[in-house]
Amino acid sequence: MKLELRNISCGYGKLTVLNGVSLTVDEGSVGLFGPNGAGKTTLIHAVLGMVPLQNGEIYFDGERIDTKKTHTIVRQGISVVPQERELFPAMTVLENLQVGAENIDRARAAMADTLELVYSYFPILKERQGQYAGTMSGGQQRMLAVGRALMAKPKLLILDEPSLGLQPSIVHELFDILNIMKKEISIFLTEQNLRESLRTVGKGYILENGHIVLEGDADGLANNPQVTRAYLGL
Amino acid sequence: MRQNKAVIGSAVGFIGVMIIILLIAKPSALIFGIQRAGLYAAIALPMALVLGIVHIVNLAHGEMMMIAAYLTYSICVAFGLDPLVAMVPTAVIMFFVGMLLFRFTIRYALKAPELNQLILTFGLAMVLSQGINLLATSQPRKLSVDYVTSSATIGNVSFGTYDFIFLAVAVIFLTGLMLFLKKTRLGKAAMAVGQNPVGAQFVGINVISTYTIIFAIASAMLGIMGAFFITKMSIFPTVGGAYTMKSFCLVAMAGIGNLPMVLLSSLVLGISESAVQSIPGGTGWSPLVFFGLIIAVILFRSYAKTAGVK
Ligand SMILES: Nc1ncnc2c1ncn2[C@@H]1O[C@H](COP(=O)(O)OP(=O)(O)O)[C@@H](O)[C@H]1O
Ligand SMILES: [Mg+2]
Repeated sequence: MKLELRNISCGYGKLTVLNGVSLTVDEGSVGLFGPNGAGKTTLIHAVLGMVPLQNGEIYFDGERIDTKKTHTIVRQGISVVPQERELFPAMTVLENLQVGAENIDRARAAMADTLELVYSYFPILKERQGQYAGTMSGGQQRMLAVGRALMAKPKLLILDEPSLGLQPSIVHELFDILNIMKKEISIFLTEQNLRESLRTVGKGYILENGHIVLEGDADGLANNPQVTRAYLGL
Repeated sequence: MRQNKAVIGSAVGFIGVMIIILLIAKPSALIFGIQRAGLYAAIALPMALVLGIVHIVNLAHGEMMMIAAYLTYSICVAFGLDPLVAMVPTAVIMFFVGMLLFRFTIRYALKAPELNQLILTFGLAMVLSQGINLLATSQPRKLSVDYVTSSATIGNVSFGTYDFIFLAVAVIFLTGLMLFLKKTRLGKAAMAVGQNPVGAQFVGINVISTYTIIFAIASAMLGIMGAFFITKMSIFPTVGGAYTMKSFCLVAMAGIGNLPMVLLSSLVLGISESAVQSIPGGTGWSPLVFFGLIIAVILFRSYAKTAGVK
């Protein structure tokens, strides 16, 4: 598995949000850090083909994907846990999980097994499988969104600010699970919470105002004074 | 949920009371009301499907049924077929007509403000009825089919039996749609798209082609209804407009995405219209019943919402 962004620029109408960003995610887990409005979500939407590129290319496993449609890219093995979760509120937990697999041939065939795996990561989803997604708490909805993304049997799991709006104990619990998950699957996540994510990712990029301003392995970032001052409050 | 129960409860209660009153006072009005409700529901269900999943109010809905009725008429005249046989090619043709209409017009208004969508489909409605006016003139057309005049007598009430076919079609449509949406992969994907089109993209659903197929299915259903319509009614270029209005109001009464409620609201509407018409001199008053009911239901819904009934 290898996701490669080569010098991409993109934005909305005349507004350019990302300006010549290059980034590589291969085996192992990678983080993208930056303040609100830096362009993290925009970058993920560009990978999924939801925001057209003004410049540059995106490759997934050597194949160019920036000209493809979103559903094709998802079916090729990139699953995203959106920042806003984007669940199906009037479907039950189980139906949300099933719909995560049903539209992808490879995932549909393995649905029963993947469901067991998801339930083993998040036992709460099994307990609540008959409950409507829209009636669950923020933390449970985030877990359901992760579960739904896993149901697609992706090669790469992307999480857009998974800690957003969750209380610290739940964030901690979620990252514990991601740490188990990353042994099985490549993870790319965006975050503002570096304290939690630096124990999950091997490598990280710092994005500010649409530019990558710093990159390095997790230890390097954790010890970089620029990073500790801006993101760890030290 | 509770609001829904309250609405269903009052609808069922209302229907019950009307049935009892009419059974005693005017049984034939009850039968006509139920038959009329079937016709309304069968025409409104495809609109409810489109509104629930594509989120488009199709103001050309009745006109599409009118087109289908003309299609059936032409096929019957050209090949000497029975309209219920001509129904099959009509439905197939309407499926593709719906597909093309969606691909080349409605699709481009999906992200536009709702007013633009309404103007677009209103424009389509005008094009369709004026197009037919040019092609076929405004002269009413009718097929004479003998089986539609069959009747039955219970006690001293006699009534047409064929008209119950509309109720049967409505029930078949409803059951078929519910099964499709709950049990098939395409149907479940359509439900997902209806609830959250952005979320649907994230799970690998092709949203635009789902919209297209749903619109085409609704058009094919209108094709079927067009064929049934011409077995009983005469058609002319503007015959569809009233059905657009009624379907829209029934769907609004039922609540977006609530297909079974479409059948219930049709019963409320059909039976009360028929009750008013059975009063001597009441015929002209039936549109008032119609709009009065709509206003009552919509007021009730907003009241229930502001009063915090969930
Ligand atoms: N749909 C949109 N239309 C216009 N501007 C947008 C849209 N989405 C995001 N932006 C702008 O793009 C910039 C980056 O936003 P975003 O990618 O959401 O940042 P982040 O996820 O890092 O907080 C912000 O200035 C934001 O206002
Ligand atoms: Mg964001």
